[in-house]
Amino acid sequence: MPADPSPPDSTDLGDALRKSEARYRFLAETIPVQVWTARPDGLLDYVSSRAVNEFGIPLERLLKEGWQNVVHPDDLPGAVERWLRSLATGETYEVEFRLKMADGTSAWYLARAVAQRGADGSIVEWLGTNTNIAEQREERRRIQALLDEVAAQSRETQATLATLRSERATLEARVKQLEAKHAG
Amino acid sequence: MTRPPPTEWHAVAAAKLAAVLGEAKGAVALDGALRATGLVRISTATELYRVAQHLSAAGGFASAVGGLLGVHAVMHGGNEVRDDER
Repeated sequence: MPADPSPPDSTDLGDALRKSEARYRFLAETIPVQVWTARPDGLLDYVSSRAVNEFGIPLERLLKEGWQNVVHPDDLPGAVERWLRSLATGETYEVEFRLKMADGTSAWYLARAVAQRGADGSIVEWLGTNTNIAEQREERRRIQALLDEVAAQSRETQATLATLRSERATLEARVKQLEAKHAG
Repeated sequence: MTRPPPTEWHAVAAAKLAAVLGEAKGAVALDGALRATGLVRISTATELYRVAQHLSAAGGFASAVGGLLGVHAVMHGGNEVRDDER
């Protein structure tokens, strides 16, 4: 039976922690979504450089002001209400909103955040992402528009068929009249 | 959005394509179908049917709109026979 490994010293733990953090930071900076973390009280404490570049806002300002100045004004009240609810309950935060880009345009994003909990169950941190969903929303809009067109065409087709059926009945009645007249 | 009268063939095609594909892509799809069918403007139900047939072969959302336009054209008397052959 092998001997118990000696407990890692603080240098080993520190190295492991630094490597782990570097790995997660690398992941956050390379995946094609905005990544952010927030304290249990909701204040941002990390935003990936993708967000900084897409918004054209310095990191320090973004961390200080949060999303308030980049979320479209029409979408802000709903987003804030959902965020406050998640902070109060710990439930997953998920909301779609428009974000103002550096070039002045707006783009639809899905924001999602989950609470990371400590051993005692309390929230240690919020881990969030903002994913550009402009294409998905456009696809949804197209599908809905197509369904609307199908429904409209269906109504028109039914109306036309009803008219044709009525006209056929009129013609058949007229034919019967003529046949009766000739037979008589 | 107000729908054009059913026998304003060109407007019907433009409106359905714009509604589903969006204004810009709808216009591009219609222009392509007109060029492919040798038309400048859709003036009859049969011309609409020909444009619809072309769109139906395009695939994707344009194909679905083509199907709807084909039904619309047939319901209003359009068919595959060219107008000058009728």
